[in-house]
Amino acid sequence: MTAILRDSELLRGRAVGAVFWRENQTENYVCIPPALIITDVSGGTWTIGNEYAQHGWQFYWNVLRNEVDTGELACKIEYHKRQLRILTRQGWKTWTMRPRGHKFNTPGYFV
Amino acid sequence: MREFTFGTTGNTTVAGATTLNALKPPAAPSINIEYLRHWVGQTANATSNQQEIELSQQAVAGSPALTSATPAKLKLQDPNASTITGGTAEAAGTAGINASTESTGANTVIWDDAFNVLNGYLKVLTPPETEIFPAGFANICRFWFPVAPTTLTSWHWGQNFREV
Repeated sequence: MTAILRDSELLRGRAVGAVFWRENQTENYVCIPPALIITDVSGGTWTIGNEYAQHGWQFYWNVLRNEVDTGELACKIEYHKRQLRILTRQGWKTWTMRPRGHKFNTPGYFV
Repeated sequence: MREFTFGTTGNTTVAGATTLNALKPPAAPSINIEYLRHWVGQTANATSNQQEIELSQQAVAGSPALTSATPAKLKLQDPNASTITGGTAEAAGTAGINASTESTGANTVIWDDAFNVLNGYLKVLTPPETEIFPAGFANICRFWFPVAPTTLTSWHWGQNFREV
């Protein structure tokens, strides 16, 4: 059995009611679904929630980062070259981290 | 619509090739079970490897033993609990997790898939793809690892279903 050291170097995030620990960020081109989670470079753990909107046969689910709703709906979440992207009804959006000390209390936003 | 979820409630150790979730519909006439979502992930793992996951229907035979799991409401305003209750023996109208003793009945695969344990597995079903287990169905719905995972600890899993 492989042990994992729970030290300060690990990436830590939350999803589906659990804390996820990872040594490294998620590999390139991993997509939710079918993956359950994506771990970004800052340790944020991404997944989709239970809320959705349906347009034709396409479903868009709420996008969660560490179990906090980002306010976006997407049909997929993808990680590539340290960038997290979501495919929304308006097209692709990329997650951008806010500068430290920014007035908003959320760590990032989609552009 | 009445939607519910059941699965683990904390870090869970599996024995090997294990039934993660088992649910047997209630005796007819009653509600049917429509599955909406399946997921499994490992909260602590440093090693990338592939794992097989399977949804099947299985006859109840022998003396299966599971941990009782009561489905939780997804709609908190619903005044009524699920028709499905927690159970340890794969009886009709019950749900259980993490089998310590597997049923010896015939297993019929519905779908079979694989995933990397670092990313976990999530299957969200569109309406035409949902699996429905009708009231009175003789077999359980079995969500399970057909092959033992490399690391047995720190697993989380669950299924969402609707009573229709």
